[in-house]
Amino acid sequence: MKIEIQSAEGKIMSFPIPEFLADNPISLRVAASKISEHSPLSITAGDLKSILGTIKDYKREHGGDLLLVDVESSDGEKVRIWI
Amino acid sequence: MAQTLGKRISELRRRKGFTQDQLAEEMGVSSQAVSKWENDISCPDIGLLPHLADFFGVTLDELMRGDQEKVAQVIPENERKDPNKMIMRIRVLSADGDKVNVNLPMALVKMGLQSGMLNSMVGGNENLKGIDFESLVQMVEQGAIGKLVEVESADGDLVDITIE
Repeated sequence: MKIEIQSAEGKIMSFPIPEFLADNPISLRVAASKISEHSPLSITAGDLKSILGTIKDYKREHGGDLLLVDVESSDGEKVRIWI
Repeated sequence: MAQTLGKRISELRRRKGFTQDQLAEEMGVSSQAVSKWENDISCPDIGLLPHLADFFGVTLDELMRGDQEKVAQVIPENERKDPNKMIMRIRVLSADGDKVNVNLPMALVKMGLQSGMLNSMVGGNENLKGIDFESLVQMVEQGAIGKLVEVESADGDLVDITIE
């Protein structure tokens, strides 16, 4: 997974996140708890595990990273998330 | 066909049933280079473009400019791809110039609908609130692909959803 943030001035910050950091029981439990705490979603670690599994299947099938989210604000800031 | 060169290369490669590694080998470049092309981070060398077009069996013009905007169509049952291997591209262009593109594998969309997560997620976006994703998934399972939703709100926001 990679998160890339580009400021309006063109400065790029890139955060590669190794897969094992996201896909382990502790991270999944923490992520599920924080998502449920800070959003209207009620999500379990099992749900997140299933989502990651689906994404892995897709990547295996298509042989590359998927650009999941690509946001560009009117003032030129960009955020891209690849999984 | 897809809107950027990278997306078109990705779509043509998948249609041909090749992986990025295989395409890289055919073109004599690294698989990272192909990944960068497909994510629109870089472009193929100009000298490679005719080879790419020949390899995909399209004209250079089709490769560079794409077809006309993808229209909705229903694919005959014997020619349909597995819906779980398709992708839903949601594009929101707000009147004040913000752009949001989200690319979701259909398998993920279905999972989100079953768990109720998808509605909670898109419910936060005014432009997507009224869209019936369940019906969209049903349409895809019946063979519908292409641009299935195109909405312009009163305040000028544009939303479109394309299935590829």
